[in-house]
Amino acid sequence: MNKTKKYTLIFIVLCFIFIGGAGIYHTCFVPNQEAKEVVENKETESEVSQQVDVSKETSQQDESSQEKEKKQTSQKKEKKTEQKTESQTTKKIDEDASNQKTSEPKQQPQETLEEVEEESQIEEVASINVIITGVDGVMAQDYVEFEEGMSAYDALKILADNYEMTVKISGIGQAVYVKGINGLMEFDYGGQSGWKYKVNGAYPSLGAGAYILKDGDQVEWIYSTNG
Amino acid sequence: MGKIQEISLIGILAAVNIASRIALQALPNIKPVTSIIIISVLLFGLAFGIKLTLVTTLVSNMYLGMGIWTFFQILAWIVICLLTQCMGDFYRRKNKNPSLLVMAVFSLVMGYVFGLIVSLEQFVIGGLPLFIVYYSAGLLFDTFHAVGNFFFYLIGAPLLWRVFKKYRKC
Repeated sequence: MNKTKKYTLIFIVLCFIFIGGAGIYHTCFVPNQEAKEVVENKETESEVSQQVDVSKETSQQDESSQEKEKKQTSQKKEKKTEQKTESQTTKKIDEDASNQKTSEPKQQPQETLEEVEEESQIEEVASINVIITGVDGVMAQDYVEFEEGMSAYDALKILADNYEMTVKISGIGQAVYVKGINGLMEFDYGGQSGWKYKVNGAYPSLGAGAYILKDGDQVEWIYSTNG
Repeated sequence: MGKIQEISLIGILAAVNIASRIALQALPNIKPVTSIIIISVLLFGLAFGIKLTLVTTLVSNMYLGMGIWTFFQILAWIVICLLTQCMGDFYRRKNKNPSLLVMAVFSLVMGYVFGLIVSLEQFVIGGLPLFIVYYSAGLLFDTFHAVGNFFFYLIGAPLLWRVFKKYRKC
């Protein structure tokens, strides 16, 4: 083969290897937000497990310590109910509550302790508050269980599935675009109308499929009629 | 072909490329640059084509805007040069002149190859989703490029073939 041809071929192959490597890196390991989130979640999980262990150990001690702990956990519970006023948290609490009631009759302090422990455990695993606001007011509002790496669009999808609302989209993955929710489509109220979303009260500058949520965020989907 | 003749030829062809690229700025992606590069690689060989590419891209991007896309444009045109040289060798082995229509269709396909490689820039920046979005949004402009290539090749090839008969490498 000609010398020139050989050199150009080598150059092109090297360039494509670089491009392929950089592209695959950017596809698989999305930097910054997800990495931080993974670290935070691991920390909160270890904290939760420590607290659960501590509470289980102390529940095996005498009544005085049980009473003290009951007061502590009830105080915790009060604080948490103040923070989350409308806690229709998940179906889990209802199931656990019913399991508690149908199980063998244990001593009352222990039962309430376990309920409170499980509730506090569930509330710490916590959730995302999702609100959908249409033209005439709130269409739906609920808490959605938080999963690592979920995007704002994922939260909307889970809530819509729970309430049997259809979500019309175009695009896939990080480039998803929400066209309509439950029949209220973009451009229904003029050329500038459509769906926007806020996280914790601010409009992010990312698409809904690209914005990764953190634990305890509040996502609002608002139908805007003027761009 | 001596060095002086090579330099002056590169100068003239690059000037034609740059002037046409700047003059046809308004029409999206309709430029005779790719056709001229293909013709010059068929006439004068791969090394000539690469030098012509470099001069054209660097100088015209100085006017039209320099950025990371410059490297990808150079890469795309070098790939086109390599493929054209392979076609040239294929014809030389058969000892025929490249037929006009086949090469025109070839330059049509090269328009899409160019668009694909220049879109790879987005692959490096943001990963696969960005690349897919950018490439699918740009397919219309790639079509303009390909059709432009086709017609510019039909117009340019007979002219340049006869003009450079003396220096032809075949």
